[in-house]
Amino acid sequence: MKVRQGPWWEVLITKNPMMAEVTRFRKRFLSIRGSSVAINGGIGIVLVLYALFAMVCVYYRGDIEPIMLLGLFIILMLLAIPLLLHGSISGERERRSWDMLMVAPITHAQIIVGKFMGAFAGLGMAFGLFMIPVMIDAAFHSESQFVNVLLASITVMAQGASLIAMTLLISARVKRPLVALAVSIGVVMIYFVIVPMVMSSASFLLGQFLTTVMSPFLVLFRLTLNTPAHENDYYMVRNEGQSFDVILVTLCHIGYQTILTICLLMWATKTLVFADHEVKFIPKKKKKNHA
Amino acid sequence: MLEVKNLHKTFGGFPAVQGISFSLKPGDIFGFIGSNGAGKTTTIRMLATLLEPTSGTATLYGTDILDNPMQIRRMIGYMPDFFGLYDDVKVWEYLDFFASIYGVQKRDKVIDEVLELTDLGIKKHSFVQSLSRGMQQRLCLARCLVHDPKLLLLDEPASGLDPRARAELKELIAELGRMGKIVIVSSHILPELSDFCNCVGIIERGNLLAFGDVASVVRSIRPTKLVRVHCISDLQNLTTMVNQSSKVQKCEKVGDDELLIELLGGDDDQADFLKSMVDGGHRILNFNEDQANLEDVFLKLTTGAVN
Repeated sequence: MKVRQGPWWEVLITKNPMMAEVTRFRKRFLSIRGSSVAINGGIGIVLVLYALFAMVCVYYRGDIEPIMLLGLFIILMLLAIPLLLHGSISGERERRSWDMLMVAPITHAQIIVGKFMGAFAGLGMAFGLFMIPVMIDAAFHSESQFVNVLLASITVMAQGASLIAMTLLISARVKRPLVALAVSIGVVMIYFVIVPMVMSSASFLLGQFLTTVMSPFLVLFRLTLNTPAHENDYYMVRNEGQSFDVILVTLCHIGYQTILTICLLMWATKTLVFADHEVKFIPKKKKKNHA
Repeated sequence: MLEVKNLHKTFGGFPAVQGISFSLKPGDIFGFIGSNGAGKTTTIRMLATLLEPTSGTATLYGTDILDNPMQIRRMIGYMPDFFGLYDDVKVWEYLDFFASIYGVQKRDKVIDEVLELTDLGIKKHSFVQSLSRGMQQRLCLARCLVHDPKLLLLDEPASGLDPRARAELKELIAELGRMGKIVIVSSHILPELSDFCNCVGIIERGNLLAFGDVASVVRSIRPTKLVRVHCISDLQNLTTMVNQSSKVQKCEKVGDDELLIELLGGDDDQADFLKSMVDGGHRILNFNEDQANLEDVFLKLTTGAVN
């Protein structure tokens, strides 16, 4: 049931009618004139916290490692993305608005890409705001190298993209939004807590390179240390035997996250097919009898 | 023109729809009648390209639902039996979102038009969640209309509506039929369907038991006319006279002064029969045809069995 009307970038991006999701996402989560008291309240709290964060960054400008602040943004993403996006598909199924999209003349890939772009644009907007005080701090930081800050920013966005794709996939695969939220948080916990622990204990087998490529926090840490002032730090000395190019590690991490994002989005697109047949009249027991 | 050809749907070996065929022309309002689980929604979902038929197909103005579902989706408006709306947006934003998905040009103008048609113009800037149930039904119908579809699939559109909202919806559907759209409406409220549908189909256990215009479907279950006669003169004499008539198939006394008569023939025969009774000196106070309705047809044709 798919009809391609042109090159993939036209079908999925420039002429994708589901790009209307970008506006919808912005109005839903990034506007204080929405209908939801909970969301408006949440936005208010975030704005207050943001003001505090900006004040701290400006007051202590030059003293805080700007790249490490980006680690804070990743932690926020780990919480916020599953919280905001868990119902993007399963929620539509639950409130029965999904059928309306499924009968519209758009492909499953367009739906997934539209929802992804909506969330990614929102993430970009939030990240842009977050970066204002970070850049003020970086401008005054004596050891900051803007190439490192730029790479760290791309690392964060790549990580955010794969997180969005992962949450969309889970939301597409389950029927209930709460289940999607629980599974998303579970996957985040496994990927960011358990996997790094296992990999760090097995780093003598896997090597520092692979361990670092897998973790955005380690990449940011390496980028922070990637200045002449840190050459004699304990960490750098300890890993002297396994030294590698930090830029290469960062690019590998970004590449890995990008490929992961594309794979997850493709998987989510394939997953939507089952929604075509989600009407099931026969309980499993009866089905067995009929078979 | 919609042609449904031998449509089958099987779920895990269980037949939900078993060879449904019918055809509708522009302006037709088709009432799809059946018990819960009879296969109405499955049929409608297949026509809406949400479910793939196990076998058979349907064509809408020559376009096959299996060969070109995207083209079909541009030509249909589907309103599910249970539906949800994006409640965090305003009415016009909701319609604008779907209009953009359908690639509608001059969206503002189109949105104003469908809002006027569905009598929601005053709610254009209200949040969807603030609308009443009836208004939400109308908004869903407005969404179905933004791309000017040729076929409307309305699955239980009147469920949960108060009498006034039902009457308004009925009038709106009739108006859509007058606009030349093919409308398929599934409903349990049979008297209302007969008010605005010009053809009906009765489905049970996935089989289409009857299809045609309302009058012909009613005639199919009762070929004779059922006439109720209220007489204030001697009923015994009238009964004897009625039983001697060649046009009478059956005569039954109901109460003290009423007869229920099954008459053969058409309207002329019915008029002649009344005249003969009056000419015979009988004092007829009331003479009226007891017309069968869709509910009678439905109860007679179906057994109540469900899938």
